This record gives sequence, structure tokens and C-alpha cells, in this order.
Amino acid sequence: MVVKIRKMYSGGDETQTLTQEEAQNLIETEKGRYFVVDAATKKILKEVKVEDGQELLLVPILSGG
Amino acid sequence: MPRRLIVDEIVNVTVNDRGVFLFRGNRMNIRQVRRMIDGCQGQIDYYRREIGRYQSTIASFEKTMEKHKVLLAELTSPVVQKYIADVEEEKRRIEEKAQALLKEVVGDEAYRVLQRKGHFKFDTDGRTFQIYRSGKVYEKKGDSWKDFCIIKPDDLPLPDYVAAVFLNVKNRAKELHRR
Repeated sequence: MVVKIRKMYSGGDETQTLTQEEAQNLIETEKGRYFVVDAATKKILKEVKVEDGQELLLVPILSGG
Repeated sequence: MPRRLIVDEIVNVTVNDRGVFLFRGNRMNIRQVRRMIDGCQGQIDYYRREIGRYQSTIASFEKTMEKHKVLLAELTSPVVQKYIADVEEEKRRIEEKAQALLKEVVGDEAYRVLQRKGHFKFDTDGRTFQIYRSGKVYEKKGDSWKDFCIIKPDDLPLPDYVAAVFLNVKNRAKELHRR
């Protein structure tokens, strides 16, 4: 059971293939700095319940000036 | 009136293939001879010192030039050149990846417009935005466009920043300017 997570960072984007549990942990760790977007729909996921085979994008949370 | 020849004056006429030359000379007294000797010696000493000064400057310049040659050889060495090539290759790879992600995020059509015109429009929550290749965003307010200021993090490659701006505005425009 794998989840693909692409995270945007200074080196470009990094793709990790993780188990559901690892993916959930990563998302929890990055809460507050990143939000989660479904790679297929490009929609933000408010409540992230990682599912097998999902592809997610971690997008830096930006703020207005 | 012809010029009278003075007793203590010497006049010589010389002819050669360059023409006719007239030399006039005056008799010098002892004091004048000694003064001329001192003058010549002084000039010789002066030019000797100048030559020494220039030679020491040349030597110093040659030493400095050699140091630069050594440094140049090191900077153009295969190891350093390879490092530069690797860094540039990595930059190009990151840029390519970021462009690919941007295209995936905004969609083919919007990406094409962005490349061609430098910006594209999109709607969200009943609002219209225009995003530029630089990452700048403007919101349509009546007939004009208002700067929708977003703080850029220092470290994201530009295409990734544009993708992040698009997704942030598309999904959380209301929160972006919440105080």
C-alpha cells in the first residue's frame, strides 16, 4: 500500500513513495507549513485521510503581504 | 651686414648625403667645463636610478603576473570546470522539473498561454485573478487589476513558486489576506 507525495522545496520538487502511515506522519509533521493538494484534482484537502494509491502534493502555505 | 667671426668661436661646415650642416661652438672657460662635467654626471646618476626603479617595478609586476597565472591554471583545471558544469546541470534539472510541475498544476492550456503571453487568468470563488511568470498576482476589481500581494519565500525555484501561488490563490484566496 503506497502513497506518492510530492513536496515543493528549494531543490525543486521531491517525490517520495511512502506507506499510508508514513505519508500520514509526514503530512502531520508539515502541518502549518504546507497544505495538501490532491494531484489529480488540484483541490486542497482539508481533512487528509491518506488512501492507498493516492498522489498528493505538499504545497507551501503562502501569506499575503 | 655680414656677421663677424668672433675669435673664440668655431664654425664648422659639414657636407654629407643628408645635406649641409653648420656647427657653431663657443670656447668654454674652466668653470663652464667643470659645470658641464657635473651636469653630465648628474644626468647619468639620475638615469641610472630611474632604470633601477623601473627594473624593480618590472620584477614586482612579473611576480604578481606569475601568481595570477598559477591561480588561473587552478580555476580552469578539469576538477573545477567539472564542478561548475555539474552545478549548472543540477540547476537546469531543477528548472526542468519545476516547469513540468507548473504545467501539471496549471494545466496545458494555461501553461501555453503563460509561456506565450507571460500571464494567464483564472477564476475562483467568483473572483478573477491574473498570474504572471514572475509570480505576481493581480485581482480584477471593476475595470482594473489590483496587486494581490503575496510574500515570496526565498528558497523556491520560480516555476514552483508560480505553481504554489496558483494553488494558494485557487484554494485559499480568502485566507491569504486575513489579518
